[in-house]
Amino acid sequence: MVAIVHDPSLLHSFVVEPRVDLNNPNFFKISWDSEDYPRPSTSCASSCQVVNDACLCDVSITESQVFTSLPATVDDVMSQLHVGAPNPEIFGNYIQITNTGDVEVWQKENSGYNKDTIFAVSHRGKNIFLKNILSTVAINGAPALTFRNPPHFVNIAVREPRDVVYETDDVLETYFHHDNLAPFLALRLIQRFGISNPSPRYTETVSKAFIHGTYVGEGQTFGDGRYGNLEAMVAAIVLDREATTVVLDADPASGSLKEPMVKIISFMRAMDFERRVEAGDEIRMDALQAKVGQEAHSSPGVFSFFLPEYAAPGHIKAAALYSPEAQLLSGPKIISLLNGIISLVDLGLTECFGGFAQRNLWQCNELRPGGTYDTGTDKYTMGKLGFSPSNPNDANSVVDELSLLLTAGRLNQESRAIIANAYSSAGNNADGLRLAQKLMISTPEYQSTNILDIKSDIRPEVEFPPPSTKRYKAILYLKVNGGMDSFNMLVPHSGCSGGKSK
Amino acid sequence: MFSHLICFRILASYHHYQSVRGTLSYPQGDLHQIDASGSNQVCSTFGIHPQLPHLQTLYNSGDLIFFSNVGVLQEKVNKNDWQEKTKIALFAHNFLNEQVEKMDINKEQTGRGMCGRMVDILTKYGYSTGTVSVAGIAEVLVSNLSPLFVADPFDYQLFNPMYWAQPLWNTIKSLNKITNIGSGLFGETWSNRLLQSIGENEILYDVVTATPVDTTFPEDDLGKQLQTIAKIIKERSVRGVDRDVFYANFGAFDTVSQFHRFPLCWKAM
Repeated sequence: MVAIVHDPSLLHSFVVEPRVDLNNPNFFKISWDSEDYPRPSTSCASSCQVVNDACLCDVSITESQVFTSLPATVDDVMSQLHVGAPNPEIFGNYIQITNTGDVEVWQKENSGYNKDTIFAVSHRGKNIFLKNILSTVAINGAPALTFRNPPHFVNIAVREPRDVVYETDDVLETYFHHDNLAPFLALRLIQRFGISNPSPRYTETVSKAFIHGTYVGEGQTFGDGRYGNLEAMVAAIVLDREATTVVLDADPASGSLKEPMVKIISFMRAMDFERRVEAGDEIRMDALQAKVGQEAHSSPGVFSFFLPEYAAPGHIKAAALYSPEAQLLSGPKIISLLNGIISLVDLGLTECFGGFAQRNLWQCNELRPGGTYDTGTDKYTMGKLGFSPSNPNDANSVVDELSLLLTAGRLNQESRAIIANAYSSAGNNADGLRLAQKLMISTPEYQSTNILDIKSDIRPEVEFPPPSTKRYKAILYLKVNGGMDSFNMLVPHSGCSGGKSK
Repeated sequence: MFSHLICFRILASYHHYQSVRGTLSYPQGDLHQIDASGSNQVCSTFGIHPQLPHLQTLYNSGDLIFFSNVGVLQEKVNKNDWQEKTKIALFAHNFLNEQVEKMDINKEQTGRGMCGRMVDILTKYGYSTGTVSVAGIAEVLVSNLSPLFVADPFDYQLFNPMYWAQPLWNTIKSLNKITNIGSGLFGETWSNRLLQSIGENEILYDVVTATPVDTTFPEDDLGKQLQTIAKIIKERSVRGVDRDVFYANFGAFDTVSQFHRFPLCWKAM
């Protein structure tokens, strides 16, 4: 780590900028060319002074060329040159002497390879111009102690917003072209398209579509061939054999849980939700983030609604799988989701009894049978489900149709029979349909993309032992969450021994 | 009732701290001193952050303990080798958030949290244990033997709340039966959580919405959480427990130098 210090002590009329005076705390990383760099523990180098547990040295800077002949590859150029250059064509005195297709070499006035030479390369679809320059910092009086001068955007003495903008642009460019970006995005986007644990092959295919900007599937070519093309990436996700092979539905580890918004919106679409025109131009739902853990434009933080690597305790964790959406399967959020859909089915879209709508009615109890609100009209709602089954008098046909619309036909035979029986026993077809819709959303087939193979045993219910006679004790784990500066929380004060005295 | 647990790394002297932190260090005279003689630490006196006087009070009354050298490093590292010698990405908030609750960098506990492991041990010794979060799914409470209960301090709903609505519970149970080996694991996860959720809802809804407590809690985020915990503790007999672990979460400490949210913490506690 070094910091830049200016000490023109012989010239008394100069005032040193605090950013480069002896107390400059802005150290930055450099890479010494040899292990033998000046250290205060060995009295620095002979030409340096030991000041405040650091070496203060005079330095000199020399510039030289990196390549003396045509570099072999784009990677050679990218890994060894760090200083950008303008497009040489604008100078008027640069001549392109070589163009290998990968690397263009431009020399100033045909003067041979020197530090003015500019290389043009294409890296992930972007033209980059790099100067053939090596700036070396050497300790005065110790010419073997050297390091490569790192490029710096912002003038230390005169700081300009312009330079900060350039540096920020370059940081973003660096992230966008980073080798990790394609697989990072591939995993996250595949997970949003319904596969929580994609194979390495699948992730690689999708990453390559992003990198090369093109994907060929179903006899068509997708994307324009530029790095980062999302058309190619999404085509690779949805057309890959891992997404389209039906037999994989029978693999217990394939697929995913559904995310809350998908559960709500897909139910409303499949059940023909009809917005009441008088209720306004848009459907307004309220506080979904608090109720079900997800809401448009309401991400709780930079890590979004759930983590890509969350694994639910139990089978998922034991199988070393991920189930991101399970991070929202807490008791209150499950109850809120079910209540919201029950309310939608029974009352239409309102805020009542856990309904998802923005507050509008205020007197929800008047929706009760015999209450002053007439639920026979849709006057009190923002809209209602308009679905009517093709054969309402045939319970099995109704359930098959619901299974097709809501679970892509995955609902197991026993559950179909249970829901068909509930439909038939409800009293009339309208009540039967409401009951069947509510039961459908509670099934594991609706909540996930899995095929279920169930036993005949009911799960044990939550049970509690009788009150204990032992004395009660509790621990409260209060997580004080965020970026705490623990190095300032508790610090050495006095009476210290055995450590560094300074 | 509250045990205070704070983890930190010790620097070797005030001057060492001052030279390492530079302009970010606090003057020695601004620190709240605590006596650590007999603790076998490098200093007989430590200083607490100027804005945290309550920690000094709690420490002096014997109600607070600091743990040193606790964390996610598996061995001593320095600035040259930390990247290869640390298992956890030290600057990734998501991974550190997870680890601070799991304390399991070697992944030996298949997802069990720090307090969840304590609960499992207590259960084996014959205690009747409970784990309850008032701030969503909590990694720290995940255990093998005690199912995680979650209560919502803000808008807790009763399942299927319209008294005239069609009953669902018995049919839902038969739609979410035990699955065979080879059945989809995501569907299994749903059914498991659903049965637990409706079961705990029957018990906790009444406790959270109807239990009176004498203490007045602040109407803020943490105050509501602690009030909910107080209610659940008061009505502990319905769950038959004698050992509980609760989880609350108070966030937004997202500036490295900011401690100004701590007074809200003290107020609620």
